[in-house]
Amino acid sequence: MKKWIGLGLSCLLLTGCWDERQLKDQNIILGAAIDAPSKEEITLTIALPQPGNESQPTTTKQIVSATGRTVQESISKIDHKIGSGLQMGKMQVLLISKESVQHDIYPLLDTLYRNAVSSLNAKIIITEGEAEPFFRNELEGEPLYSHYYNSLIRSAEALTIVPKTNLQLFASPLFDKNDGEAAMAPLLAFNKEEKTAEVKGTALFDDKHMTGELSVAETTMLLLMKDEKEKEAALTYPVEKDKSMTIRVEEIKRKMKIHVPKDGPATVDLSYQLRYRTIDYPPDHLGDKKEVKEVDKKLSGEIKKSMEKTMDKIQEAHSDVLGIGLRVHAKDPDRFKQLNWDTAYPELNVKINVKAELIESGITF
Amino acid sequence: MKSPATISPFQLFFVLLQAQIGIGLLTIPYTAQVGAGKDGWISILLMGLFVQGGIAVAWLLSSRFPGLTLYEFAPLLVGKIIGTVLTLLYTLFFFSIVAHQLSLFLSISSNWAYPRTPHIIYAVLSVAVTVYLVKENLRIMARFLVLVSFLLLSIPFAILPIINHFEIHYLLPVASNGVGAIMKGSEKLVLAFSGFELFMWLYPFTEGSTKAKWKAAAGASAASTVLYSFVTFASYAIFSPKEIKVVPEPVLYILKEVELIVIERIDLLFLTIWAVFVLTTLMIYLYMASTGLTHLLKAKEHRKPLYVLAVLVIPLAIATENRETLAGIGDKLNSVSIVLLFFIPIVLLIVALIRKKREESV
Amino acid sequence: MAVWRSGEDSLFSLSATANTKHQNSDGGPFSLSAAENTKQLTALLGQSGDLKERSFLFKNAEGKLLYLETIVDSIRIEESILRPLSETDMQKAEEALTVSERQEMADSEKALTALLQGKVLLFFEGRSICIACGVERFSTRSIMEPMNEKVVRGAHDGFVESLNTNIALIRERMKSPGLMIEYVQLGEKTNTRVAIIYEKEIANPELVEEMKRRVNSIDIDMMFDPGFLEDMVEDTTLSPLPQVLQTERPDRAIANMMDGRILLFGDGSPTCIIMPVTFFALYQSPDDYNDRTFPGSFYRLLRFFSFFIAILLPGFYIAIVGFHYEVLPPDLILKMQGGVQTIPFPPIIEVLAMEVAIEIIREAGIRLPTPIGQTIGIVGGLVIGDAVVSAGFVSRTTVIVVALTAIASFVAPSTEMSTATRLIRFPLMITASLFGFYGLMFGLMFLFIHLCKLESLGRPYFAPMAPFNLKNVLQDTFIKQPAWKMNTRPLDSRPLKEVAESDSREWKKK
Repeated sequence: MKKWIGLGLSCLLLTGCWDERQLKDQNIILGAAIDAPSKEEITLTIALPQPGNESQPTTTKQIVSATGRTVQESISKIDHKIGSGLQMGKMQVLLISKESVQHDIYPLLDTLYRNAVSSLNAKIIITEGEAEPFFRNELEGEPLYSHYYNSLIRSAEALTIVPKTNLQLFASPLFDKNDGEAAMAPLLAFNKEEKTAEVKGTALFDDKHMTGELSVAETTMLLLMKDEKEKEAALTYPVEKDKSMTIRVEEIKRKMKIHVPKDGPATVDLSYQLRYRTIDYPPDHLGDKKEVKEVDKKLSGEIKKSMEKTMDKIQEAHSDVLGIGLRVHAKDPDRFKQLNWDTAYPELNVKINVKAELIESGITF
Repeated sequence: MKSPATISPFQLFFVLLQAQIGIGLLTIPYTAQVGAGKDGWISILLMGLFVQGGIAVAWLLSSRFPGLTLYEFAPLLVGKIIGTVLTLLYTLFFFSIVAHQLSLFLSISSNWAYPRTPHIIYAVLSVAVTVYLVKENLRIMARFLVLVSFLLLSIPFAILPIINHFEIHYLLPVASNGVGAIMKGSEKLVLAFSGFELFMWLYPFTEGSTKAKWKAAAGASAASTVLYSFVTFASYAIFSPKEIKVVPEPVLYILKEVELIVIERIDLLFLTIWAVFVLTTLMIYLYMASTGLTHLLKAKEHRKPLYVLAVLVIPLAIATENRETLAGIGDKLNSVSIVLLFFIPIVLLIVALIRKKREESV
Repeated sequence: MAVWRSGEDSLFSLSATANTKHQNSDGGPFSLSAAENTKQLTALLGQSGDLKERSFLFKNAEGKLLYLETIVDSIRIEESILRPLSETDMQKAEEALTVSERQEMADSEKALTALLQGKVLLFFEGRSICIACGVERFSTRSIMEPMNEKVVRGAHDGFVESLNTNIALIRERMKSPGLMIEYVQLGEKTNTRVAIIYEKEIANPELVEEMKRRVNSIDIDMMFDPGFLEDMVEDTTLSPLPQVLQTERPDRAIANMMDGRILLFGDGSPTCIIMPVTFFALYQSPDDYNDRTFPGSFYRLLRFFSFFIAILLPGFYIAIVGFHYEVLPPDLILKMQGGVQTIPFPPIIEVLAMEVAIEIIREAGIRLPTPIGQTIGIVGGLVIGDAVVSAGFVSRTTVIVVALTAIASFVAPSTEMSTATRLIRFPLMITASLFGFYGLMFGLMFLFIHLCKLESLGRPYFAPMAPFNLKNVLQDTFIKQPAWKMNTRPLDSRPLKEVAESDSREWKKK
């Protein structure tokens, strides 16, 4: 009896390895670009890497595009062109053209959320102009497109010039039109003359489509306002006539107070305490305490000004990236429903207060 | 009938813990939000309280019959015929839990990582590994269950890396959906918490004072309650309330983006670890079902009934791959479990109190 | 056997009356004539060439000396038997003999056994007994450090092939009155002495009884390899894991005995079999105790880590390359893909082939004399490994994985355990190649369930992890506490006396 059971089990085992996907047979895609000028016309461009070995580094083997009605249809059309099946499991970057996100972005992403193999830590990037040329154009000294874009975005994140996001983090706002934070994604442009890509700032979303954009400096401001300073954040402001200074933000503390009166518009008080270090200060006389106070005051005013400007911009774009709606809802869900956040948000009265403080001037005064 | 293999209260703790933690580890955040929305984690805590009540009932009942399992003392309380019917009911219930958990396990596995492997393969493998342990006595089972409980430590470690992505505001304001919704959420969770009732069967096989036994059982349920509400809390803090409605296994989903230095896609590893917890649940319930059948057939030992049940469970588990059907069966089992886990023990306890029955008096 | 025993007494008394008239040639009591007695024994031994008979005179009576010249010490016969007998003034021969071990025997059966063990038999005319004198010549090699259990620090002696020497080595270290040594004669043909040794104040009597029961039920022709003994007394022989600890180190044997375990020695073999043991005891090396706590614990942990590498790494590699490449970071995947892309075989074939190759090299290396063995290792490891990669049959990663696995498997301080780990990894590789991570998971579950089921001399094998005992786990399982913290013995062998140490560092409190 035991022998027969053993025999039966081994027969089961011998019939095969159904889910096997040999690494050597896979086309592992590290990056993809999507252009969807209209809803039913999705062009997917992928860069196939040529895996390297000890004698030669990894390079890009082939750039392939195909157009279909859904992303999966485009993928299978690409499958028709290349030998083996595409594997999206290790995708590092997903480039989507600005044009495609003027309407609903979700259909472009659904397949990535739906299939278990896909990787959700891919960086999502919005491109100025079409996305396809980002893979077609020649890049100076970079054999692997996706690797380049990925490290570009990662280093930009560390410098607090683009919001930190990935497919997973991007998803939550898409599902919560009313009471969530709004989505953001880095904005990239291609510089054909220098053969490099360039971070242009941030694309702002309202619900599932793009409604505005911020420059790099504004993005830094916004991230500071969100209390999401990464490793470094540098700001440059004029300090005297013809002279500017650059500071590095060491620490920022935020206090957010939300008033939701039973009637009338909601108001938000944002106060920031900012500690910084000068890394470039041409006037060169920070030994004097009075002088330091002067600079502090001036900077506080400047930062406040740019914060207000940024705030105006995001309100204009209907993009609640600060998550104020979420907080209002958390505070008083009934009132939130009454308010109709869609219209209430742009009208929101935001007061900003900044106090900057120099803590270090470098190894010279 | 009493086999000499006994377990310590320490082992009882882990046996009950492993019986409770199974499929639910992945699905409970979703199940809880169906009724209670973002307050699902409170529903879990509330359910944990109810379960403590259930354990108290089971304990009061069992401590009246310290040497007997429910199969043995039920006939003394309600007569031989109803007693046999109860034994049959519980055996069927345990058996259907095995089948249901196994088929859910197969469907989740195939959805997440093994879409092309026929369900029967993993069904046979799971049953084989289950039988390999369950054919031994309770003590050896308990040893193994304590051993695999070390894997529970991986749960906080898996969730730790994403803790800075938590958005606590998704959970606020607490309990805004009202007590009714929270209760409704709890109602769906009985099946996820099932396992504590086994206390009434394991009680006579546990050494130690009655208080120590109660502590072990209550502690096990408290631990699984905390664990369940922790993963639920984590899921709700990552997914917005609307998003969670479309993600049936949020715990795996949130692990998809975790990147450790040399390893990514923690979900694949976690799925594997979770499979161990499912299998331990299968083991305990299959053991219970086979001892029930042993009792019904008045057989000497549980091995032969076990083999019969093991062979029977495979076709049942692979009968349907349809998620909707499985969910429907789950709902029905859930309703049945309210009766079997809470209602019947309470009735038995009342009968015992009224008729003043104790083991000594029999 | 039992029937024969019960009938023995009556048979004896019956033949005692008849023995002068009737000489039975197949054993039985001796007669009064020395010549007849020696003749009887010579007949029983079948005229063996090395059987020597010598006559002597004692108080004018003739006596006979019977011995196997190959296994007795002729100088000692001269000095302690013959010379005293011829020079003495004593009246009784027993008083004249200067040998330390002598025994009177009235039965030719017993005398024959003694003869075969190297005793000299003395017969006197007119006495129906013989005196067996122990003047055996021991042919032993000198005491050396065992080759397969080397340590860096600590004792460098090892057991040898002689049971007496081995027991001497133990006695020298353990001057305890509780040290019990019990002999059992095993092997119908080989008549090997087997010693069961334990510390009676520590070892659990139930376990000792069980051990004796198992040893006594052995019925076999030949018994001289520890492997035979192990197979006979082990709980589950059809298991990849050894449930006895074999050691050639006296310090290790004694340390285990002091934990309440029982030692089993067979004459003619330097290996001591220790039972009951746990999985973890097989991973303890005497080195740990000679080392300080931190390095001791570090290397202990390293050994368990190596255990997992040795059984899991190839399977894990196969599962990743064949199923779940997603778990690797992208840069690493591309590197690995570049390596495997041109390999014509699936990873399971690659790994299996390399594993088998390494096992062949290992086996060849053991059989060959040391200098050639090393050459084979270098040729096999380096040349074949390099050639197979540059020929494109096997990827570099596979070679790394296989080599690492092989080295990790040799870390186990017990040879049996290291062979066990090398065997366990094959099924895990196969399940991994069929089902990926799930395959590994199912394989490991079978393994750990098996570990929980296993028993050694009826005691749980995987203690103190299953059943779990926190105190023992922290004391001397994964880490090694300082000696003054090991207050109690491990509980897996249910010692009678739990306390092993107390307040050794009381001086510190002052």
